[in-house]
Amino acid sequence: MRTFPVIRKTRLSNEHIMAGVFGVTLLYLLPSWIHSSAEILSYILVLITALFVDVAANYIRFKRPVCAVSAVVTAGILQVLTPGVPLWGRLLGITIALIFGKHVWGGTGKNIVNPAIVGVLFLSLVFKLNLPLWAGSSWLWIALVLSLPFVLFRPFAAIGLMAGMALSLLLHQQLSVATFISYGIIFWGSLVVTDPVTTTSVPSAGLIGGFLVGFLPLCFTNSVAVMALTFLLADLAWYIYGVKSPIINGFGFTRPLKIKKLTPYNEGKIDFLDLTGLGSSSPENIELPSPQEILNRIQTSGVFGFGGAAFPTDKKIRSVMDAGVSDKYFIINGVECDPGLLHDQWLIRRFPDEIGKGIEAICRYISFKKVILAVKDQGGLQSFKNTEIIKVPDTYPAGAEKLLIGKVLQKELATDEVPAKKGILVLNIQTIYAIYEAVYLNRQAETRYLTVANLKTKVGRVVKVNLGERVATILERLNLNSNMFFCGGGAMQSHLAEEGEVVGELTNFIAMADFPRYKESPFCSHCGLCVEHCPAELSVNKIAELVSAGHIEATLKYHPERCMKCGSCSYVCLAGRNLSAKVGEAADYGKSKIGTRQPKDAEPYR
Amino acid sequence: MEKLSKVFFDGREILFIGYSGKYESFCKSVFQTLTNHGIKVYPINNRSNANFDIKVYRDFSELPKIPSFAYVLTNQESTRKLIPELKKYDIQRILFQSKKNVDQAALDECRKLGIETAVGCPMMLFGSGIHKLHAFFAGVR
Repeated sequence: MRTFPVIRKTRLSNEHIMAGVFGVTLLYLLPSWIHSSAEILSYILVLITALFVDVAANYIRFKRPVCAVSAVVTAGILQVLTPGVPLWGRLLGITIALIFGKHVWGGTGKNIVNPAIVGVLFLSLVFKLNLPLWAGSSWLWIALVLSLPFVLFRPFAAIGLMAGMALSLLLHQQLSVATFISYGIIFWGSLVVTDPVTTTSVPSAGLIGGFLVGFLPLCFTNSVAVMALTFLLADLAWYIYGVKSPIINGFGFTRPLKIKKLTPYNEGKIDFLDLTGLGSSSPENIELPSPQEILNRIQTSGVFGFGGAAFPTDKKIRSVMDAGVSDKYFIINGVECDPGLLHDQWLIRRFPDEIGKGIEAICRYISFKKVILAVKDQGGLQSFKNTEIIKVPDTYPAGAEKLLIGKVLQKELATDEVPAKKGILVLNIQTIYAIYEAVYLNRQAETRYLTVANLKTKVGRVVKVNLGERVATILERLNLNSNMFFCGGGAMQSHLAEEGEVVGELTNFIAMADFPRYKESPFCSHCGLCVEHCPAELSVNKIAELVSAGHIEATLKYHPERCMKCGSCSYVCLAGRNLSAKVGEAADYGKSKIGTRQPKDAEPYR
Repeated sequence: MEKLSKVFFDGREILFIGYSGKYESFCKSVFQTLTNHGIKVYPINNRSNANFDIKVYRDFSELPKIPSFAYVLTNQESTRKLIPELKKYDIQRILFQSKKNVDQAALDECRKLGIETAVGCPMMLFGSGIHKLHAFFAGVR
């Protein structure tokens, strides 16, 4: 069973956004409707034709009706950009736009040219359309203002195009507020060039391409046909060079996610409940055993990585010990970046002495050049002996092992490199607490702290449970009654719990929640949010599409093995797809193949 | 055949037969909507090898519990074969998604076996937006 984030960034979907674009195009048409009511009828007929063509084409392809909101957007843009064209021309134009601009390429989300511009090119060739498009009207101001938020979808291309058109008008000494409006600079820049399916998200390519589309045609001619042709050529160029072109690769950027954490019960003070009945012991007057005995106790107590990997800690420590490097580092991972987790930040403040003794035990066994405690929040934190505290940015994800090493030590490790074998020991706060219990108290690692949340009210508490305890029992004891609950590594990596599900080594999080809204829309709008927020800079949408089509072998060239399964892509996807599950599938496949690949393929983990 | 209504879901548990990878978008929306309305859904598909986001049972023997109400989304031929098996597991009510999933002969067979039936999309009862419009035109409340 796959995991997925049980929280979503937004309830908005591609369809909502397209409905928004459609609404704004209506406002652009308002002045023409006021002038002539026949225009309303004309527009309704164009819309009906668009819907008919799109639904029919989709029905032929999918054998079932699918959402046709993108067709009405195309109709809206075409109508705005072709004033004065007779009805028969528009009906022909929208049909050509949808067939040759969209469906011959494979339908919604697959087209490489903007369908509306294909229709505009046809109509401008037949009817010799010229800029400016409209006479200035105060009615347009509302439309102009409401258009601007859509710039955010392709900001660089939009800015480039608007700057290009404005510069062209300036050179012709025509730049004024009236011409800015009547030439449709904001319309082209906000609603046309921002089509995420056909316009690149790469800043440099978007800026240059957008500028050329805006500047060149308008500088030499007023012809809408030339403008449309330049537009389509830019679409082709953006498609050919693509997002991962060797020419423009590297100019892209990623944007880390900021996700609000759960609120603890009791207004800021984290609530704790011990369901084990074991309690905790004071660390005073307990002797630290010999270095060899420390490792023996960690091994015999079965201490494992509580952060999520559940790897045996004694083996990890041995690997670091045996690493053939002189400078060894110890990073205590107190970042707890998952928005659904509270227990690590609680543990480090509740048991500072115990954690300090756990650190001391490991440092007795291995001599480190540097011991670092990485946290997001230093508030109320006690200092630890010979330990440097480093604050990492409050973004998600930040605590993944190699990502943290990169942030804290500025060291890049290749995908197939194991940090422990490079002399870097990374242990989670709870693992260190378990080491303390194993070394000083000879306790087996049979209990764990985890966060239990009610995502309907967005509050959580820390609970200590026995490993193997039924998840349903824990929720009952906390009076969280529901027939549906989730568990997993955190709010970003959970699954729907089965009836007999028990707390295991990988369970950090239990939650009562509504099922998150995943539409699993077959249409990707190429908005690029999944790529933009991927900490491993993967071509998430391409990998997911290949996995969906059953071509998992073909994903290897995109290095899916770098995926850290953080769930960011699923969290932001406007098509409501659980992308992380698909990329995770490719990642597992990639990791299984990594030994058979050439060393040059094992690029650094960025 | 009964008129589709919320009475059908009184047991708060439902067997979803034919949860499909091919129509995952639709199946998932039905699953999400019903579960978010407090109805426990047990999806089952004996053919699919797909990996789903939720636990989809391969057959009746895997199910932790067999509810008395089933929602069927299989083709007509599969549905015909399925009905005697559903009776064997003491299913009392069956909701078929549409007439594409059940023919008159199968409905008659259900009546003979004493199984209550209805035909209609559950999203009309529990969905929002366009599903409510669908319910309005279908006369479902």
